[in-house]
Amino acid sequence: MNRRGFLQALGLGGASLAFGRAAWSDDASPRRLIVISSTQGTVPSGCTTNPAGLPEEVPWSQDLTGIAEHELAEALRPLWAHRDRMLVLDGVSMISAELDAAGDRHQKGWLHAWTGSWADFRGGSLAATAPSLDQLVARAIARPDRLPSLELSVLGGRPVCHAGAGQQLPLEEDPSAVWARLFGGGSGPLAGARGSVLDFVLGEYDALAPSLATADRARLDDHMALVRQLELRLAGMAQAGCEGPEPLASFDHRTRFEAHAELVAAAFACDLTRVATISLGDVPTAELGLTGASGDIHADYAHAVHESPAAAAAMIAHHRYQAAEVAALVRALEAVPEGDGTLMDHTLIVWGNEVGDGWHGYHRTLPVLIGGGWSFSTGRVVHWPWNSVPVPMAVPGGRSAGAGIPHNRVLVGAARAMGLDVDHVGLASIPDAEVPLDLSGSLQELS
Amino acid sequence: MSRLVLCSVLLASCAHPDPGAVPLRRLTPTELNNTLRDLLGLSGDGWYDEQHPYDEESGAVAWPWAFTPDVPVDGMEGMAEGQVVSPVFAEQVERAATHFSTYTATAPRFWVCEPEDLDADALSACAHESVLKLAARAWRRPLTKDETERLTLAFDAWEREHGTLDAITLASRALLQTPQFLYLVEDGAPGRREAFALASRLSYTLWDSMPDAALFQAADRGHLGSEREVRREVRRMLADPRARQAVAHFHRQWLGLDGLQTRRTDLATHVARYAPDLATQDPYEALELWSGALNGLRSAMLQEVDLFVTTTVFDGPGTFDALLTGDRGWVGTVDVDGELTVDTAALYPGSTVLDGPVVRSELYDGNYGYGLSLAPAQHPADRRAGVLTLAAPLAARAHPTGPAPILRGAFVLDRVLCTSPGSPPDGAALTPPPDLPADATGRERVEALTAPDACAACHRTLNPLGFAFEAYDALGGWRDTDAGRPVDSSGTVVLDGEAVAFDDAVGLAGLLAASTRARDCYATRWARYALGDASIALDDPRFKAVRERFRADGDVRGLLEELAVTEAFRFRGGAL
Repeated sequence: MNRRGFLQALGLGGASLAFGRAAWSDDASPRRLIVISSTQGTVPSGCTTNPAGLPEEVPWSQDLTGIAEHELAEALRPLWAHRDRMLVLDGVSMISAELDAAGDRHQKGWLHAWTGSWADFRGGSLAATAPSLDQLVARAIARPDRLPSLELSVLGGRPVCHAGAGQQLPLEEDPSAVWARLFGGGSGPLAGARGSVLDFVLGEYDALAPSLATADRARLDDHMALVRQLELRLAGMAQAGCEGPEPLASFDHRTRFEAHAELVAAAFACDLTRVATISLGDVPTAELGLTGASGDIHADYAHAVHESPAAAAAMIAHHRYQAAEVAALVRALEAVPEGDGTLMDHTLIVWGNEVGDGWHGYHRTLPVLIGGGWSFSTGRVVHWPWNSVPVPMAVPGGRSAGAGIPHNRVLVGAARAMGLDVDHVGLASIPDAEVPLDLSGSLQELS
Repeated sequence: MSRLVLCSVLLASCAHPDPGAVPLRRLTPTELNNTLRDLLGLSGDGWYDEQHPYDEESGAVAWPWAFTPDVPVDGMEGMAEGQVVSPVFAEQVERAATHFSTYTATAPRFWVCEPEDLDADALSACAHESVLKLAARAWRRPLTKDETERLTLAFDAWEREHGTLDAITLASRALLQTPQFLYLVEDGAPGRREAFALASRLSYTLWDSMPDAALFQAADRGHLGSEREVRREVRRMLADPRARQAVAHFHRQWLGLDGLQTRRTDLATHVARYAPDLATQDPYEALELWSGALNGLRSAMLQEVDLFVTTTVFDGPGTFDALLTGDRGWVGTVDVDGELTVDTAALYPGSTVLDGPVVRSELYDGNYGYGLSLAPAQHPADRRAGVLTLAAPLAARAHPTGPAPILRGAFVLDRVLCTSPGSPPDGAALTPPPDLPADATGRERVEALTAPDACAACHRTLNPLGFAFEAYDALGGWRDTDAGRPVDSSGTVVLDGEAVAFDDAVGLAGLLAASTRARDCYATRWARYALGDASIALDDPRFKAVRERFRADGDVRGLLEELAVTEAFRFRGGAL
């Protein structure tokens, strides 16, 4: 049997059950966050869930738990089995990205999507001006003696994790390297001396700092802070004493995602971290069974999504493929018993995208929340009219009459669900927009 | 303080521009690995080191260590703003330090005595001294009194608890994580760079590594003060093999080759030509081997670029012209873990293998081992000219099934001509291209796609520079036809204010080689790299003389020497 068959036969690597331990015996289980970031956006025709056929012009909420499979949007259908955990947010726009003047719409998009703040245009490239959601949450909930967060990539995911302004974090593509970080141990000879070694290092930083120029000193201070955390963390990780399944080699989008998903589940089960981001690169068209001219979904299909039915179908297939991957992640989390339920009961997955659609529009996006049941009332599709906010958005042929709810508020909702007492993520408002914009506050429709 | 520097500090009526200040920067992953190699005397032969082949925990190759790459700024590593420290990086440094410190007690030139014949007390005293010597080399300068005291106290404590030999390992582990090791720290106010700081600057620019004993000695004896003395050192350093590596590394970055190994290349389109043995296999089974085949081909392509650059710059004419128009190459086979062989001759039909030493090497990517065997070759002059037409830079900018002319054009504009292509206009509405026949060529598709006015503004300049390379497929292999029709690589480019036509990439390469703009761009990129400052402009007055000389003679080694003796390199300017 080939590798793929093997994995499927075991239901995503039956080894999932072998690792970790039920860490908590009551429901004071810690909450976890997983951010999943996709590319190339969605397609309205394949992403609308409206079983009762309610009008677009009014806000509404519909139950998902009772719907038939075909009533869930095509692009989300692989998640139908988990619809009771889902909140499909229909009517959200990336307004701040639209109002940001400079730069490439993809780059701007992936920065705005997760930081909720401006992109800093520096010559040829863009940098973040604020931390991303995952880092904000990690800062608040991470154990000091474990990894603050994991940043993972599948086939060239976008750099969506930022510790702060101009501080892009690296993403790990190789599951073996992730495994080594999580389970590699560091129990070699002289492991006990690690603390005194790092003490010496910190002493040298302290001695050097006063002689440096302010900006230089700030850089070294950042590094020093990390060395301090490192001391605590390495001791904590060594003590955790967990074993994780070694990942199989992976060569395509699906198997790479699954390898990462297993590692995230194992890491959460053992409380090695509480926050993870999986940044998904484009799914190769060959993997979708499509034969475009160049083999690249961006070049062949994404841009024409509004004009060409074939392109729209391809982009729906692209989204749907990733929905199946997300479903696999949910299953991996559900396979780990914890407290009164499973790991998934204590996890919030926020699935977003760098743009609204492949045409680079920011108007119609489709954030999906899965889990977070301690804070959200899940099992619903929530709709806001696409012109709820009087800010025109670029659409094919010109401008829309208005925009949906600003995505920043979805970020606020997620942050609050993770225990942060915040009323904004990134920008709180854009006072000098055509119409002054308030980007703060959670969305009461989610609860 | 010299008159020059006083003048700069006062600014007022000063003929000499301020040398400028550059932010503190950390060693790049390349520099870290090379420094570990030179500090501890590792063989540096790649993956197979007899004594310490693997990092036991991850099973990965130990050297070079896989540090998190810098975020490239303008395509280059080593720029302060791209060097974000992250928890991952701090862990990697700790792991690497833990691993490599175990080599210390057996490293050549570590001991300042013969340790075998000594009793415990004498050994301890020798170990103390040896560790202090290691620190001075690791920190690339003599230690201060306070530093010596702190290190001695720490070593004493480790020795009491763990014994002399383990104390050496722990001291080494500590030193490899200190800021004095990881960062290029320079003390002091505006003025002449302190000798040891200048020595580091020279060695990291020319060798991507720490100074050697001779350079340390020159610094120690005050023999790096004058321009003449610096020139002497530079020439000595350029003759060292490490300079070849460093120059090759610069060009890999300039040519944007780090993305090469992660490009997706479609099996169905290319397997018959490049890995015929796989063509008959089940596609899913073949997928893994195909990735091995690709990695093998790309490793060979990368090595070809390194060899082309180093032989051109160090053994050949050494000119910009030769870099951009030379017809040499290296072709040969790659054995992929004994399961498959690929041959880069498939990329280069018409190329002739020459008499000359075959370059053999072995690589390991964590999955497969590769045995490369490349021979010098001559590429046909009507098909290839210089580094821009070698396979690697072309394969680095390609779609899974064919070339990516927009990326290739943007590369020429940005990296060779230092002209930013800009971003697509916001909300670029892409009207659907007119229905193209099924046999439309790649060029026709891109032309149709970028025809609307909103796009044409930039693309009329950009596209021709990419179409010039249409004769090279997704792996940089030569092709005469696309969609059954002859490839059209012709176009026009505006160079130095004049519009000039070219028939193909060979023609374009010749025009670029001669252009002032391309020369200024290349020289400026070296200046940015040498100073770790991506903001240096093409008309920066500090490098005027350097540019003028390079325009005239295009001599690459000369360029490096001239950069090393500029005031910007040898002096420190006003505070940030």
